[in-house]
Amino acid sequence: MDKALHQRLPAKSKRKNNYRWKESIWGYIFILPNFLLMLVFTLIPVIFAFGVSMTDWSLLSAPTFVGLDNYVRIFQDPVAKITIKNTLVFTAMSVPLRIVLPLLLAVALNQKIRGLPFYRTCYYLPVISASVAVSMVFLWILDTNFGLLNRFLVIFGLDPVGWLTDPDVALLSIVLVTVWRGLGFNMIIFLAALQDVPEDLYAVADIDGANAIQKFFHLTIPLISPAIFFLIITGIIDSFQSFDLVYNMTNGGPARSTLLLGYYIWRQAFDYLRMGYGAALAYLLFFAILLITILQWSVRKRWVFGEQ
Amino acid sequence: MKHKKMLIILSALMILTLVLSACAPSPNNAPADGNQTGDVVEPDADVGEEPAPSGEETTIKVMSFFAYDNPEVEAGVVEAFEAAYPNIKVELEMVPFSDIFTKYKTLVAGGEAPDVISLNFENTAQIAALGALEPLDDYIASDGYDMSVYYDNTVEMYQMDGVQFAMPATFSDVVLFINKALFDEAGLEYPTLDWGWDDLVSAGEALTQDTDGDGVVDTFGYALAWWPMYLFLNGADVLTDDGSACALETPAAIEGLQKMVDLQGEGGIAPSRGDLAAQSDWDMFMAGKLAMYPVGPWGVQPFNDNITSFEWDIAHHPAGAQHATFLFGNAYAMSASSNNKAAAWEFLKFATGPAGSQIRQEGKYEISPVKEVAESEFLSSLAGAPPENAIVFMEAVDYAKNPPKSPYWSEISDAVWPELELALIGNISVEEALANACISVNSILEQ
Repeated sequence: MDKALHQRLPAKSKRKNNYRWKESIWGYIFILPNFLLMLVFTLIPVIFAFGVSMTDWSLLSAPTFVGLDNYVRIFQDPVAKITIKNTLVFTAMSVPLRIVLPLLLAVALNQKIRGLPFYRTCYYLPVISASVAVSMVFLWILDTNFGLLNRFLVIFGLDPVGWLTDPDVALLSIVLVTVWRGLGFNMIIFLAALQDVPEDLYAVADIDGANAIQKFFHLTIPLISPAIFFLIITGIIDSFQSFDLVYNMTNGGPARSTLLLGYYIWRQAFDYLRMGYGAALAYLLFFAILLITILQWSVRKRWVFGEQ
Repeated sequence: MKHKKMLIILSALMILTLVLSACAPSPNNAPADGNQTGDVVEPDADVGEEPAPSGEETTIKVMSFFAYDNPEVEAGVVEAFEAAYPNIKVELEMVPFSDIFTKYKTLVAGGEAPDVISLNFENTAQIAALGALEPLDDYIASDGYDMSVYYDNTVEMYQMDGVQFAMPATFSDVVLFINKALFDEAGLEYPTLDWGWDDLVSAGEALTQDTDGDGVVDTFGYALAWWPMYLFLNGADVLTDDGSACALETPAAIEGLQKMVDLQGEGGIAPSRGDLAAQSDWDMFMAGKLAMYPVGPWGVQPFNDNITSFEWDIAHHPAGAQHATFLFGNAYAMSASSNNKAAAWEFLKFATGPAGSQIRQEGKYEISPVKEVAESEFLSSLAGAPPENAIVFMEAVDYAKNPPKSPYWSEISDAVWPELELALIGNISVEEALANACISVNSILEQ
C-alpha cells in the first residue's frame, strides 16, 4: 500500500505537470506568430544594426570592421549637431502642442453637443490618412505662391510667408502639420480617459463650490494624468523618430532647417549608402529615447495619478 | 560555433535583403508578357565572357529610365536591336528615374542585378565606386570600337580615374535662353560668344526693370544657374584636381561664388530666393518677365508649347574668367555581375551608337552624344521653331564641364548648398559659408 502510494504520487504529479505543460503550450503557440514577427522584423534587425554600426558598409560591397569610428564621427560631424538641435527644437515645440490641443478638443467633444460623432470622426480622419497624402495636401496649402494659406493672408493684407521656403519658418510648418496629424489619436485617448472620470466627483466639487476652471485643473487633470503621461512618452518617441513629413515635404531644407535625425539617418544609410554611420546614428537615437523614457518613468510617481 | 555564427549573419543578411527589396517600389509597368517574376538571370555559367555562339539564343535584362513617359522610344531601340541581333533577346524593364537607382542598388545587393543599367551622370561615380559596374575599356579595345563617333566630353564624363564605366546615350548642356523681345525693347544686342561678365551685368541691369513703378522689380535681367556654374566660370572647382579635398576656399572659388551672390538680392539683376518663392524662374521666363535664363535643352519643348507672346532664342552663356557651362548626360552601363557580358556589350554599342541614338533622337529624348545624329536629326527636329541658334547646344559641349566625379557628390552638394542658401539670404558671408562647407566636405572625403 505504502509502496503503491509512493509509486502513484510522482506519477500523479507528473500527469499534473503534463497537463500544465499541455495547457501552456497552447499559450506559446498562440504568441508564436507575433513572437516570430517581432523576432524577424524587430529583434534581429536591432541586433544586426548594432553590428552594422561598427562597420563601414555600402550594402553593395563587403562590410569592413571599424570599431567605434562611426560613433566618434557623430561628434565630429557638424551636420549631425544641427540635426540633433533641430530634433530637440522640434520635440520641444510639438510635444506640448500635441498634449494641450487634443486635450482641449477632447474636453469640448466630451460635452453633449449636436453632431458629436461627426466631429469626432472628422478629427480622427487625419490619423488614418496616408502620410504621403497629408504631405501633398499641405505642400499645396503651404505653397508660397499658390498656397491656400498665403492667399488667405494676402486677402487680409498680410505679406505671404515662405512656409516651407523660409529657413526661419519651415520647421514650425512641419510642427504644425505633425500636430494636426496626431490630433485625432491623442484626442481619442483623452476622450477615453475623460469618460473614466467618475461623475459623482464633479457633483461633490459642485457642492464644494468649485468653478469649471478649478474642476478642470484640480480634478480632471490629475485624474487623467496617466493618459497625459502615456501621450508625453509616446509623443517624444514619435517626434524623435519623425521622418515621413520631412521626407515628403522639405527633404531637410531650406538650409537644413528641417533636417531631423530620423531623416538624416535615412539619408546617410540609403542615400549615401553609409550603412555603418546610419546605424550608429540610429543607435544614438535609440539610447536618447531610452534615457528620456527611463527618466520620465522614474519621475512619474510625483505627478501621475495612481502611481504614487 | 563558427558555422552557427555565419548562419546567423547570413540569415540576417537575407532578411535585410528581403525587407529592402520589399521596400523597393514595384514597377508599375510590368513587361507585357507578364513573366517578370521569378525569372532567373541566365544560369548558364559557360556562356561567360565568350560571345554567344551564333544560333544559340540568349537573353539579357535591361533596366532603363530613358524617356519613361514615352516608353515606346526605348522599346523601339530594343526592337531594332533584336532585329539586328536575332539571337539576343532583351527583357526591357522601364523604371521611373526617381526609383531606378534605389532599385538597382537593392538588386545588386541581392545578386539579381540586370545585365544593363541606365545611369545618369550624377550617379555613375557612386555606383562605379561601389564596384557594381564592369569596366568597358577592354571591350572597346578588343572590339576596336570607334569612340570618336561621340563628342569627346560626353565620353570623358563617364571615366573614373581613366576607366570607362558607361557609354553615353544622351547629353544636355546649359545655355543661355534669351527673351528677344525684352532685348529689343531695351535696345540691346543679343548676347554673343564674345560676351564677358561685365556684358552680362550691364545688360542685366538695363533689363531689370520696375515697369509699373510700384518699387518692386517686374522683369529680371538674369536668373541664377546651379551654383557650381560660377566656380567653373571663374576657373575654380568644388574639389581639388585629385578629388581628395575641398577647393572652395581658394580665392577663385570665393570670388566666383561672391559674384553669384552679388547677382541677386537688393540692386541685383537676378531674382532673390524670396522672389523665386513667389514665382519660379522657369515660370518667369515663360511669362516674359525674365530676359536671360540659363537652362538646358529640356526647356525647348515646354517653351515652344507655352510661349506665344514673344520671340526667344538661345546663346552662349557669357564668360567669366573663362567660358564654361554644365554638361549632364545619361548613359548605359554593364553590371559587373552580369553572366552575359558579351551580349550586354553588343547591346551597349548598339543602343548608344548611331542606330540606337537615332531612334532616341527621333523620340525627342534629350540630345544624342553621337555627332552625326545630333547635328542632323536633333537640329532638323528643331527647324522652324525657336531656338534659331540651336547649334549653340553642340558648340557649348566643347567648353562644358561636369560636376565633380566624386562617388560622394550627392553628399558633397548636400553639404555645400545649405551654406550657400544662408549666404544668398545674407545671413552669413560667402567666405563663412564656404569655410563651413569645406569642414563638412573634407569630413565626407576623409571617410
